[in-house]
Amino acid sequence: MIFSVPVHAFDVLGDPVRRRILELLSDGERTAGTVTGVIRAEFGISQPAVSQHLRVLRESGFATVRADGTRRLYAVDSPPLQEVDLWLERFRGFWSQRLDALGTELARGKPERRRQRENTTTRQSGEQQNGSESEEDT
Amino acid sequence: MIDIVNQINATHREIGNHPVTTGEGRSLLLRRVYDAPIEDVWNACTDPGRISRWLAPIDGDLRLGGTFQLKDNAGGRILRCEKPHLIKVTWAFGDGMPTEVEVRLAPGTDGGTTLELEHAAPAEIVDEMVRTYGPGGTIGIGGGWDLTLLGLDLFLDGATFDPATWEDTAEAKEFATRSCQAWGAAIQAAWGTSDDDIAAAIQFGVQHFAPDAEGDNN
Repeated sequence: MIFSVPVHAFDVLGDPVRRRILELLSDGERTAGTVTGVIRAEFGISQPAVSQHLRVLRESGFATVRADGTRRLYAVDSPPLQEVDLWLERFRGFWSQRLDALGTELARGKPERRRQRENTTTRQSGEQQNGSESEEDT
Repeated sequence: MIDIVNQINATHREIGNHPVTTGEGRSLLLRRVYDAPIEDVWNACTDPGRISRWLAPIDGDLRLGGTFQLKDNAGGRILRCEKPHLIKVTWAFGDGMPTEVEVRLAPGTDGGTTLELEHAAPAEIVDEMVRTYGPGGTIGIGGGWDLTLLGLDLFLDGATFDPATWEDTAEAKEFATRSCQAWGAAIQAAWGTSDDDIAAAIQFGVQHFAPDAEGDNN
């Protein structure tokens, strides 16, 4: 008997095999046989183990399956991935703000560093110093 | 009863760069000695009836250039067959990446036989896999070969078992767990993997071969 149980998206995505399967499906439908062959070759795991991962993806809503004759075709189903994406969006906002702030801070430090470098250069008059400087300024 | 510690220590494991026909490769090497004459080991590795008793039922045209398919396992083409020293085959699971397996036999000093098994896969695929998902897959493949070579030892020793189910026995699981740890060490030595990454990869392998050992059965 198979029940559809709610599983937290990150538990599903926490497994490398399941992430790899979703990656394979991201280009379009794949037969269960194709997915199984690729995963077995790459992860060295058994056929029942691959089936188990496919089942988790199906029951958690990350993948859909349809029959085509004797073949079973798997595809990515987007709603759970969109949920993950929405959740991550909050942190993307957080990080881009932080990264912007870091960028501002680095820009602020630039004239200060340049002054320091110029001082060093006049003191040392080294060729190496000039070389590295021109690289940094680009 | 399997002497698990001795069985683990009986095998030398190494990660290398053995090429594949199409180019650069990443490879696993296993080496161990069997207490049987070379003709017997060769025969156990090439006779379809005997292969089915320690590995899996095999179908196909078992000669140079012919193809084979192991039941619920890999299939491929026989690239080299030099009795009683060398077998080389392509090894693939359906549409999975094409890999190559080479088995080399050499007579040992006291009537035994040294077997070397080298399994090579295209470097660009393996490198990308390891970069994206860590070396768990390499451990999974190594553990699978360890179990296979242990099965051959039990078979040459006269044991009778069902190769499709004996990997589920408690002692096979214990053996596989230790095998994953041993492969973790071999991978870390070759690739300089971080402690955290190798621990996660070992856990991946153990969870696959011995899910009960961790009380995690989902």
